[in-house]
Amino acid sequence: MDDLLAEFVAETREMLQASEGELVAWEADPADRARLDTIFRFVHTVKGNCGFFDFPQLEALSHAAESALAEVRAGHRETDATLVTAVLSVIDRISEMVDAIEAGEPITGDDAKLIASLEADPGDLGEVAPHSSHKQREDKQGATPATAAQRTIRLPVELLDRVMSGVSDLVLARNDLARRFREHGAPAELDNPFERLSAILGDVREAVSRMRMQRIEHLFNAIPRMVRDLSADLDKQVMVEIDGNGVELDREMIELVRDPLTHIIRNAIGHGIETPAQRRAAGKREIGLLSVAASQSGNRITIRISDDGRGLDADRIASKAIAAGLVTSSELAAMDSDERTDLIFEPGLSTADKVDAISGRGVGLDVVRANVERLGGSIQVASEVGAGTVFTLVLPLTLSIIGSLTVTAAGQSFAIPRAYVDEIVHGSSAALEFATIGDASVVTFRGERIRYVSIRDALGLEPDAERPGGVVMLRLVTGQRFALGVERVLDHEELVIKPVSPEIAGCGLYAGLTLLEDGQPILLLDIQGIAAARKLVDASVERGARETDDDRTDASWDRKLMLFHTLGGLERAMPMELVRRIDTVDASAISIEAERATVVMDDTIFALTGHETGPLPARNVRLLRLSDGTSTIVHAVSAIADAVDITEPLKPAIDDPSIEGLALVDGRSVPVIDGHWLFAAHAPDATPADAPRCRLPDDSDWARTILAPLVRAAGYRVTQSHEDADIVFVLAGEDDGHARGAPNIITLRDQRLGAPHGEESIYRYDRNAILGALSRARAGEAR
Amino acid sequence: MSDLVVLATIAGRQVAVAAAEVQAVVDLEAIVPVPGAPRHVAGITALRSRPLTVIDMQTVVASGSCVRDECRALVVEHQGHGYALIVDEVADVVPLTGEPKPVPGKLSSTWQTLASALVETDSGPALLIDFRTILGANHEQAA
Repeated sequence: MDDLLAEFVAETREMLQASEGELVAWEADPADRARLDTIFRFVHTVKGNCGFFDFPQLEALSHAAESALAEVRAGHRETDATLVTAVLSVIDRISEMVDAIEAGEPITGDDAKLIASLEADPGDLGEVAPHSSHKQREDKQGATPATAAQRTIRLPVELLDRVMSGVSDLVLARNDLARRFREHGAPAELDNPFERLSAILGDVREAVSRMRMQRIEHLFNAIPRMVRDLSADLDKQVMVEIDGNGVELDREMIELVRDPLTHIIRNAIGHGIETPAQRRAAGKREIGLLSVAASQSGNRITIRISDDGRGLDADRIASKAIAAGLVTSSELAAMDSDERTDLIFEPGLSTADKVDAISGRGVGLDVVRANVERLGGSIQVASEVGAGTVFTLVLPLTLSIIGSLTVTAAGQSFAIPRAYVDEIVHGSSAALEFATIGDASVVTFRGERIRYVSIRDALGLEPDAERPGGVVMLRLVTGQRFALGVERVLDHEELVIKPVSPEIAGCGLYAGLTLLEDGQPILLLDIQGIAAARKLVDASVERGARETDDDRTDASWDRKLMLFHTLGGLERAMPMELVRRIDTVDASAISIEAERATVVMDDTIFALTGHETGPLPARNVRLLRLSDGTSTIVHAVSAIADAVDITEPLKPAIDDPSIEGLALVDGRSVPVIDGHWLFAAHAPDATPADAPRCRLPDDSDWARTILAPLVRAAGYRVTQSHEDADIVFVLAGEDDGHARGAPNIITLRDQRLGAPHGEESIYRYDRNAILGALSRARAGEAR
Repeated sequence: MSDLVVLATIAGRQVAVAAAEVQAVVDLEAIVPVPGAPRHVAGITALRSRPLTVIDMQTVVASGSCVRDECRALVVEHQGHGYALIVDEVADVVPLTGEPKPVPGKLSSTWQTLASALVETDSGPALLIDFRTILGANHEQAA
């Protein structure tokens, strides 16, 4: 087949597709001239093109259709259902002929009947003259938009792909060049040309990405015709509303979405929309409404397919699911109606009572969901009985450039598609609590227990004993979550993803690979695949877990308390968020004196509280280690009873500042220790990092051994340097000259009474005067 | 031209690969491992920004591995994916001196999978191998 002919076939096909939607729209509104013009132009172009080739049958057919439509345009003929059906048949026939032409087969069959069906009653046929004159005029009109349209050429998709990957490689080569420039120090005169190269490359890259994009109308154009044919077969009346919103989608994605979309629409017409009689009985309009709308937000496309039919019967789906053994009745009892509705995506569930031509094709919504998820998309359904159903498809814009998070593990880098990443938590964060349940790990984060797996485990490597450097919270398209531990989180990057060979894809752990700036290949993790391979999520378990989470969020006043008994035997409760750990020490580690009590643990002295409530046990003492985030104190108890959740607000405790309030626990009233009071009374003053610095006299044992501890205990820092000292101590008569110019000078004298030389000085053992001078100096500095 | 072959050594044995099927002979430096992959997949690497799946040919036919710090590989393509086949060494590109003959008798199973014919060259007899039998989805993992 020569090129010219191939072009004719391709062009005709494209116009066929575009005009199908127009035809149905025209049928709905015969007065719509724009639609009529489009269809007319199509048959006219086909007829014209036939002149170049020898297709008499095709020419005769398109001529007949053109004539009939020209009459309508000229106002000599009314549009009616017969005409629309006839024109549709002609278009189908043209499509058949084009197939035959492409296959190089002769066109067979007789079109006489079809041509006859186009003809109106004989009365109209007499008016040939006005017809032709109108036709000439219409031709001019028809030609105008065509010349105004952008000039296009046809390209094999394969060529586009090659250009696309070539541009991606150019970007990599540019990055490599940039890196070498940085490393070796490129001459400055290269900066401008390099900038220019980068800018051009950016433009080309964007243009090439757009080359792969197609308007979603390509996908939607076929819908009106499909709806019309289906509803005609089923004796239903369906009006279709389509809104593509100018959304553009990667052409590969368009092809992959076609089947799921078709399936959902077939379902909507087959099962969703009722027959006119049923609709009347339900008090609805006889004509059902199907609406398909696309919209774009960021790099996701949303397609909503909604109908105003009978809706999904959650109870019926539920009973089918039980019958099919998908869920147990107890699991079902725990589900709300949305979750029950979602069961239609489970494999093996069909609500169709009888198999029919429309939907009984052995393909269920489970396959639709699987296909959509394979594309990195998601599908959801919402329905109201009697009012209709809405399916929402969310899809990534393109398959080839994916926003990714790069992480390291086992000495190499991996990429995680950003669409899955919920949150990134530093591995040492106190908000994470790791625990082992059976042979699985879970991490508790914000009160939620999430299945945890380290990337090493996920990939079947040697497990690492160390705590992960980072934990990435992942959310699958189904809403299920798991946490992935990595060594380090590197960066967010837009990566050009290339397919992996079957050997690597076969592992089920990798979705693709990409080359970093330096040309190093890294693997893109298949999050869905890893979750499945390592059995990290399970639908029924997840349902249960989600419910408890919901309970928790609803109860926002919920608090966790640790119940214990004081040394005196009284029951008290400690707010759980203060408790860092529980220790047991030997009584000898505790030192209690009149004013203060301390305990030594791990070579550190901690302030001790709680000892005043009763006698210490002779040997082992149970301790609660409490922290407010900066200071730590230790509370002695006689026994730890339990951890409880309370949901009721505390009752105020009158006249006791050490008690925050009274909690109701199993019918008992338990005083809750006031954390604020506890830390206010017992936490050691921390020396702030910005405390004033004091310089003490050099060469003075007294200053080093007596004065320095006093100054430190008062909350000042001691420095040897003259430059950064805020306060300088000078011994009377030993002024070394350096002190001059210091913001504050405190002079100390040896004699208890009387300052020599009339200087203002302080006796060196007058503790109160020294502290007073220090605080005056500090206050002065604040001014 | 079509009867040129690349002579290489795998596990110490001389093998021949049709030269038309070999896109390049390269020295691989950095091989990025692929955890969880079949044993004969040594990893991935990139050659002029083209990703290649690295296959350790020694692992395919025998035990042990010929992956070293720097190793020689034949770059081939199969089902649209690029592969680097690591061999012990690449000797030469030589013409065949006779028609390929069937391999006499039967080889052990791993060699049998690879073998397609016995060929004669100036450097002596060599086993003509067809790497396609061990690549791609149709191949059940040899190891």
